[in-house]
Amino acid sequence: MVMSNRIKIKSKKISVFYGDKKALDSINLEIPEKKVTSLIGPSGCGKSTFLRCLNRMNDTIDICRVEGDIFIDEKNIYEKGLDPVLLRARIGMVFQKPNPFPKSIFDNVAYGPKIHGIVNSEDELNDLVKDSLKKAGLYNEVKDRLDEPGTSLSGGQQQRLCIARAIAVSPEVILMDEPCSALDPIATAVIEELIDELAKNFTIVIVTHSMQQAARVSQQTAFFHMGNLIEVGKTEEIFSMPKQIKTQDYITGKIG
Amino acid sequence: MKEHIVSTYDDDLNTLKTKLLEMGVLVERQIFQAIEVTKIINLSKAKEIQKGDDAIDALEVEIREFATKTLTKRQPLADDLRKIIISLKISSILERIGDHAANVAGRILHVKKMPENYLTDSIYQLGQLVVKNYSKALSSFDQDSQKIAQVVPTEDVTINSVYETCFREHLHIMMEDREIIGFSTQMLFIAKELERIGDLSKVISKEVIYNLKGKIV
Repeated sequence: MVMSNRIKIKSKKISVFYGDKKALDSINLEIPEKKVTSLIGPSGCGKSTFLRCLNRMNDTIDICRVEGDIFIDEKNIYEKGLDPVLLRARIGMVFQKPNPFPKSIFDNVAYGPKIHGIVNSEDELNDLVKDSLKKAGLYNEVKDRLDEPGTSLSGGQQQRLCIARAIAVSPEVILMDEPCSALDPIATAVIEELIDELAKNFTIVIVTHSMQQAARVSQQTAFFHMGNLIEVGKTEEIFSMPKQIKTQDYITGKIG
Repeated sequence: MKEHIVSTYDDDLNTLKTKLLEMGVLVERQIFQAIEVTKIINLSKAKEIQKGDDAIDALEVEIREFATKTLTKRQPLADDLRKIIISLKISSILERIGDHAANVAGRILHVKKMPENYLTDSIYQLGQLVVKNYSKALSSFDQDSQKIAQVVPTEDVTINSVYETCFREHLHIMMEDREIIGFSTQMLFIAKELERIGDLSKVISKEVIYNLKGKIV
């Protein structure tokens, strides 16, 4: 596909095995910088597995084996000797279910910068937490209760807290695995608006089961089916005139 | 033809198409009858045609409401979305064609009778071409046929040329016989209505191609 901007992530022949079972089959996909890319497909198609390859989350699963290469800014993240922890500081992740730490709102956001040694003083940390909460569109709602537990927030607010936590360590990429599936339509709308805003500064890859959400938030969409990347293209083209019949059948809900 | 997992979704899309075809056939009958009264003037028939436009208008509203409901319920994408979009567009075009047919009848009510010295039937011939091309456009929608749809714009070029000929012919008639200037002027208005139906038939055929190819032509 032709997109004018720079490619941030390039996956080359990525295959993933869970034991003997092949979950992904030689995926080649380019993800443009500071754009939103949606990964869609039926359950078990490999889209979340692919997402987890991008920050080497699959390394934590014993029976999981990854073949192939992923380049971020031309650097292979599967290169020997690369520290996955440092990699994950560059690539933030937001999960389906909001998962704030059992700490205060402030500490949830401050945790990453502290352990990665990003800040040098208390003032710097305060500014960074405030700035991250602002970027996540949550600051005004929580500014008077930063010492309250993160878990005291509503589901939508918790998810934005998780986004604030992810962006506090200044990542380059944010991965989102169905970030709105546990949220009501209003909280979803707030997150979607936030995604638009975040895409100005971050490269975002989002897994979603909602076609409409993919159509609303992303510029590029990739359709996965049974471990294969069937089609990737501009979102508007995928949802209006997909090239592959499998894509059309999936997005329109057809069988036979 | 693949079916939707939710079978009532197929039912909705089929209902929409059936309603649109029903409207299309009503419009076709209106055009046909309007053309007939330009050849043999029949005032009661012309009044009937004018009245017949109400049913067409009502169907347009019905289709619009049904399409809106389907959009809300199904949140369609790709070819399903195009089907609904073109239903809305084509129903609006059909409503306008219906107006043109009613306008033809209105002109006939205005002239009341045909002067004895008005000898040409060129406008009736124009009408025959127009109704034939409209039927082609409607068939292309019915049969999802790009092949038929592609013929419609070509035929419209002929219609436009015949319209020009009618226009020149009537100028001559009026220059030669001042007594039928009033009648001929009304007939020229009718020719213009028919020419517009030709243009709108072309638009229908373009919508059919958009539905099939996903590209606006």
